[in-house]
Amino acid sequence: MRMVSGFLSIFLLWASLAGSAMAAAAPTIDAIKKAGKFRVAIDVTYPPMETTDAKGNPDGFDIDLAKEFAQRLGVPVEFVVMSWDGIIAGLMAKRYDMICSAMNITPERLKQLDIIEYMQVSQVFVTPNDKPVVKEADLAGKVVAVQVDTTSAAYVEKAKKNGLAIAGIKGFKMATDALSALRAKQADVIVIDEPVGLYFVKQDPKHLIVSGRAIAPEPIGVALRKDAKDLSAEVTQMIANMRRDGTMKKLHLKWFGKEVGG
Amino acid sequence: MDESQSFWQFSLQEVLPQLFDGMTLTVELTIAAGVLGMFLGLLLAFARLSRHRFLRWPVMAYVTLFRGTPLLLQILFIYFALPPLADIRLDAMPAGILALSLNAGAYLAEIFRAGIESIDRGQMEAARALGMSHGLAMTRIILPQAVKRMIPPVVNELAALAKDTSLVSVIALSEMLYVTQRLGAKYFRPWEVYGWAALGYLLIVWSLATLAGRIERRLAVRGV
Repeated sequence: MRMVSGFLSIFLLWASLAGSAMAAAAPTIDAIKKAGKFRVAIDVTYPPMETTDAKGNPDGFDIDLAKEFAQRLGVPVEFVVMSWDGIIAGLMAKRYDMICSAMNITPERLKQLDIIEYMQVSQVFVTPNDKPVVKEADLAGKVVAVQVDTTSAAYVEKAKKNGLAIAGIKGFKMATDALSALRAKQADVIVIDEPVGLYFVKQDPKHLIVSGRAIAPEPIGVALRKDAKDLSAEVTQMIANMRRDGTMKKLHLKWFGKEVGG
Repeated sequence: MDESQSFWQFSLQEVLPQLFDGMTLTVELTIAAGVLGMFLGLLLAFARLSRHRFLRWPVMAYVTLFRGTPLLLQILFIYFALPPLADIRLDAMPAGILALSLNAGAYLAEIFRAGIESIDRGQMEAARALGMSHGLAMTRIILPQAVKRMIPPVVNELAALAKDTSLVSVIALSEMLYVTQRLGAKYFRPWEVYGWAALGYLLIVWSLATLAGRIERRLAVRGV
């Protein structure tokens, strides 16, 4: 035992020395530059935040944002298209360097990840225009479609747990399938991020409306591994710069037609 | 969430209760689609073996369609495309059972046909010569022998079906894999979560194989 702890303390001493020597350097950013690419995970079922263009390539607000990060880091970006339910596991397994996919900042997620805010979005109800859901109480008796493992899903589950008589909750793997379910009358209402809800309505403006607000604006951010402190600091700085130099505003105007809160 | 939970604590408190619910649904789907699929497959096989062209051709078209397109596509089509197309709105469970049954029926039809055709033609001719009707010869002479030969491929198909039920997770049916992925996304403890799910599927398929083994032995004892 003594022997082991002796070795251990020497190792710890060495590690702490090495650590302090490295503190000035930027191990994660160096590794990205060495790899020659910045790998970013997205779930492309969330238009206009993340979607695909006519050729099937990733496209959307977050895609442009990630390209901007990569450009400022001085390396090309490589997108990894992931299913939302596996997107955090992939980051932990170091399959990519960042998740840039409209992730809400929640206490549970902050235990696992560093999340840096770049925008605030609210959650809204999307319904057929003849059967609007204006407020939470209107969800009673309705079948609600959401994307699984999202803030909206947690919100609906909590409302049901608190005694609201929701007829059913359908959790789809893809946000776009929640829209398909609504249009196929497999659900009465969708709860989803405002930009996505607005985009859904644009697909079928004759029949669908954003009928009410479920949750007031909440921050969304890009997620990084907790051990990538240098990258976190750099990204925080880049976002501040983008707000100052007008890049952020330009992206909002391009994808939402206006500046969305915060 | 408490990361300090031990393997057994975590498994017993978080994983297994939810996984059990998912497994119940998986078993229900497997049994429902298995029974319906076999019934459908048998009808299709007889139609396929018929002398009448107008019975044979639709079956061939059916098998081509359901074997030639992905099951996932069939599930999505029935759930999302039928309502706007034909105003048929099935809930997730019936939609899932329907898709799985229709798909399994196509494969099972071919297994049944092969089984029946594998019995020497001379036996049917001999039975008819002895004065048996076609139907009687089929049920008394041909099918008992064919069934024994068909058991292994049918079990193969049912094992595949049991695992294919995981595809209905796309229409938000909380079968075993759906529950597993939810747990995986929530707790970040992949090996416990996926490990238990693997055991769950193994248990289902192993039970099927054991049951089939019993039936095979019983048929052997009766000497058919």
